[in-house]
Amino acid sequence: MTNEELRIYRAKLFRDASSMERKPDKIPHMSFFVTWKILDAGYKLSEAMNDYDIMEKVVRQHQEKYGFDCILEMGARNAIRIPMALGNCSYYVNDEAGTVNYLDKAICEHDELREMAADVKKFFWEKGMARKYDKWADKTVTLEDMQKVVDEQSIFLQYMGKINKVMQDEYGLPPYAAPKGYGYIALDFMFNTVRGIKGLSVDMRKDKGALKEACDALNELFYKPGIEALRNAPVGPDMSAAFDYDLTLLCHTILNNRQFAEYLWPYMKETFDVLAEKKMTVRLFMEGSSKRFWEYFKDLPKGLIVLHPEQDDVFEVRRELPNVAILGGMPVSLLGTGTKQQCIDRVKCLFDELGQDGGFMLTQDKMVSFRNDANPENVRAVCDFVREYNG
Amino acid sequence: MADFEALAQAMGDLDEDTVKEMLAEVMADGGSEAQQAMAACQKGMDIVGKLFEEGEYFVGDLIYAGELMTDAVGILKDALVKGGSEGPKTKMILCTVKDDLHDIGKNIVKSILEAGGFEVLDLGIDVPAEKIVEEAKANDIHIVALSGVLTLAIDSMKETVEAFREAGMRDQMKIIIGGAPVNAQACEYTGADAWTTSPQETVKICSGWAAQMQ
Amino acid sequence: MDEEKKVDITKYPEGLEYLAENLNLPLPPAVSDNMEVRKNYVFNLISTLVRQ
Repeated sequence: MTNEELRIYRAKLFRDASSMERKPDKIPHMSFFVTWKILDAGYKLSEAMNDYDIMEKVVRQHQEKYGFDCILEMGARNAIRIPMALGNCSYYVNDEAGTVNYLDKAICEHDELREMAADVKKFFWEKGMARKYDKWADKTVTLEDMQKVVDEQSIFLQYMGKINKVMQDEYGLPPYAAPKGYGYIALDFMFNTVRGIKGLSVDMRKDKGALKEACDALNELFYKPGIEALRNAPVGPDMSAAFDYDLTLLCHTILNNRQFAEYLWPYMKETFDVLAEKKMTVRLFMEGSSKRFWEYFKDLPKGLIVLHPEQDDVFEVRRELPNVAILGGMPVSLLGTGTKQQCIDRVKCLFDELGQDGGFMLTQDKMVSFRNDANPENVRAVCDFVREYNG
Repeated sequence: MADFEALAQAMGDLDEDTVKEMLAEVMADGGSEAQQAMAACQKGMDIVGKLFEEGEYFVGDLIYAGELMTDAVGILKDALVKGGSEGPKTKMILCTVKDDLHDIGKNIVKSILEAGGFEVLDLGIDVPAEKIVEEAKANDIHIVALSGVLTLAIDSMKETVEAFREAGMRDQMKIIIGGAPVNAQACEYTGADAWTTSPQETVKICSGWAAQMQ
Repeated sequence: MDEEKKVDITKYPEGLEYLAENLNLPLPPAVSDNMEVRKNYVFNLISTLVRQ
């Protein structure tokens, strides 16, 4: 097979598996290895995160060593050069420990929610930036500084374009997702950036009116335009990519069931409705457990959702949600501390029980970040077994 | 006399306005009933814990409850007598292990443990094994709760258990681990005595140990 | 603050307008002079920075 044929073949594997109606030729295997692959390639985290040539080598080596059918992350997750062009960033990279920690810093106080709601752009510009960047706070930022940021973003986008092309042309890998629009749901934005975990927990109880105003304002700016773009996209999946859309959510990890129903589900439902109308497929990753919310997914059409469970049991997902395809199943804990045979036995069980009639794609249950998350020998054993057992 | 049942229920309902109003009334005479008010708040935290176990409340509610409890202590503290009429509390260590900077879960558990009657020595985040051993020795503490969110926390938890073994203290210690990556396999791997992902269960297990140690 | 122009880049909307006018932005030639497009680009960059 040529690389182009391989790319088309691999994309079709994911599409067939996601459809829940067609059995793929073989079960596809996706890489969810993030910073781990930098360490596995023999580089320090700071080296790869600051040098796109090194990151390219990391991604190439990762594919050459293990041979996946798709790679989810190719250097986009920790694009620290962009904020560092302005002098500081929220990432704390510890090369000795091989870790990246993200320093949680809310940009809005509880008492400022209504102020932000009144003018989000002004708030982000003046207060948000000042709370994230020292140069903004002390008003020493210059035009030259901002030009560096623009240039770094251009360089980053050029790298992403290049690495996608390299992996497609030289390795026959389809792109992970091909979104035609993206709606950033306000509550997740509040959780990740605006108020943080503790702040949002307080807001939920303290002043629901202010929270609603803030969410409405954020949704207007960051959710609605993306959903409109999706609504205006042509009907039909982009068969060149493994998935059409990625929805990664974190805020549900603090919401009780009533709060989920009020603040998050309406937007998830709207997104799903638009995607279903367009006959597109979404990979849904809800951090931690999504089991409390499965009742909401029961009536969704087959072929819409590919659920990537983190803590939930994939076999239980299959029993409870026969309309939902599954991406996942390989526990990082087993890759890290299990034996080769245990890892292989796990894959065989997944393939036999979940993959016989389609609807299953293999990947790791969580982002593989730290050195001891996975033993390279176990990863290789799994990849070799997948190729042999499928073929 | 204040209605302490109503205060406990208000705390359980996470009704901040009512809790603070009632505590202000308690403090109006200088806080002669501060101890009973504190006990009512702790009973309210128990209600919160139960509602969490039942699925009514979730993590965000626990975080909020922790904040409300901290505020309550702040209102009553000048009138609270150290040691109170409850007798000495069991001391224990709580921390997030080395290389992990997460503290939300740890702080939730701390509130629930304190409401459950423990004196918690919170060592903070990114705490190396040696420091935990040192503090346990210095403070004559025999119960340790280790928290972590990142997968690498499991290795740090294992190192901590090993550190107690190397210090010749393992047999006198009870160690519980908790957090997102924690499960039965992780407990076995680390050599901890127990594992949980529930704050209420943490209190239950640690209370059982405390009772055995008396 | 940009001393030369005495524009406070950190203020809105004057900072946005100043940056939109004066930054060298990687826009296609057809829209590179369109001030609305330029302002959208700059604000999107700011929201990316805030989200980092």
